[in-house]
Amino acid sequence: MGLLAEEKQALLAAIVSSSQDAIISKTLKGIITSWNPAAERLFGYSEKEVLGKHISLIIPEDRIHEEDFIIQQISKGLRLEHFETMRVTSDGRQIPISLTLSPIFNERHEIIGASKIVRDISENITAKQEKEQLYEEIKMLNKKKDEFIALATHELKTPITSLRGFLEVLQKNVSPDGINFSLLERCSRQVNKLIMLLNDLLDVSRVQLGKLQLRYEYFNIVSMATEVLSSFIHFEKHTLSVKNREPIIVYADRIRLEQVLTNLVNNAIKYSPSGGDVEIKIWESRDNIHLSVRDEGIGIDNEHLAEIFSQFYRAVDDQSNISGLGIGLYISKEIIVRHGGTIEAKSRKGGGSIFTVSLPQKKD
Amino acid sequence: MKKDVLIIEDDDDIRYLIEYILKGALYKVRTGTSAKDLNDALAVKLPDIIILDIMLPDGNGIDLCKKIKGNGLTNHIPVIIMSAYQFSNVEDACAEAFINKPFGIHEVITAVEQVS
Repeated sequence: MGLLAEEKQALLAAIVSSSQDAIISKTLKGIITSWNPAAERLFGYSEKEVLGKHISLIIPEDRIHEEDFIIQQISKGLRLEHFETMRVTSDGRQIPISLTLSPIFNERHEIIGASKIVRDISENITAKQEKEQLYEEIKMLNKKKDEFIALATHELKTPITSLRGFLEVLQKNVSPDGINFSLLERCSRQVNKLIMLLNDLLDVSRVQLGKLQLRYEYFNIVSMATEVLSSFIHFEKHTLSVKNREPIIVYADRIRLEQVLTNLVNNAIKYSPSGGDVEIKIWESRDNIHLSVRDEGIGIDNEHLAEIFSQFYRAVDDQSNISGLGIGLYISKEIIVRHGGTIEAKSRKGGGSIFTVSLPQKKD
Repeated sequence: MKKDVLIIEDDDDIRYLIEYILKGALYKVRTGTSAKDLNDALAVKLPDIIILDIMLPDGNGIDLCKKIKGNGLTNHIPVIIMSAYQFSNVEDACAEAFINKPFGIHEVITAVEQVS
């Protein structure tokens, strides 16, 4: 059952007067014919003050030409939606608004005016500006961080170079059977660790600047893995092994892959403080070469597993006594991705981890 | 006869280190800390080899190297550039060799022997 015309009229009037958006109607000449309570609140004029006045009352001087365009559109029977502009209030403030206009027809379907819905968008605009500002700030800070890493790394290089050189000189001048020799050896091992950290940081800034370059060559990845393991023999609690005997030839950047494997083995040892097996396996599939490093260490929580390849992410909390900068896996992933390959981790808290690298190989 | 090496490096310890290493390998060594020192040393006597740091207080090692290579009197002298930045393109700076910091003793000796 439909509403009576009177009821319908009353309902529409109620909707208009309770609307949060300002709703205004005007004739084709721009004379205001209705003005709801939201319009009163937005512009600061009462209905009584504005009825019969020209709409230019709320249009800033420099936007007065907009009215000609609006009237033109309306006269053609066209709507105007979400037109963003400025309007002026009774106390002279300019506010950003979004306008939606539609023509009003009489019973003979002639256009007699326009109804407009005005929405105050100052909050949207402020929010948008704040967002843009924050974005710029974050971008700037990120750039500063990259520049800082590059600069700090560079500054650290000179003193480390001297340290390394003088230590080497000392080692040459000291008798190899005394205690001093072994102390110096420990010093040099620490300096080498510093250099590795420094090179990692350097790689981070290289990755960020897009300057990580690969030098491809053919080489036997099994003998490379064996060589990498031989540099870890001084870890006595761990049993390190490469499962393969037959050579497997890959086409990749040897030095970079060595870096990835060193990092994986280093992690495997670091995160299994009570020792155990660290096992490298290499195998071929149809189009790929795969390499996995398995350990029996503390494992990784599910919540951390997805993040471990992110820059500066560390799967252990700050109180943990396992040190690291959180960039090894990030760089490893970058290196593998640049080879067109993948790197993934499977792990269970307390159940060890297995990292698998897959590299696409062209078969000829 | 052992060759005469000119080292231009503004960091005292690194300059001392390279001087020590090369003297140990029986090279004759002269040192300087700036672009001005380089020019002065070249005016006195041309060395057999120049080891040049990139970041000098009054100049850039790459520019200085280009100048050495652009001069008919000095372009025969091999130049080894020493840098904390990694360089992959040796030709760009027209030097004969690069030593990247942090380097070890043998890297210095190898580079010097290689250009000798």
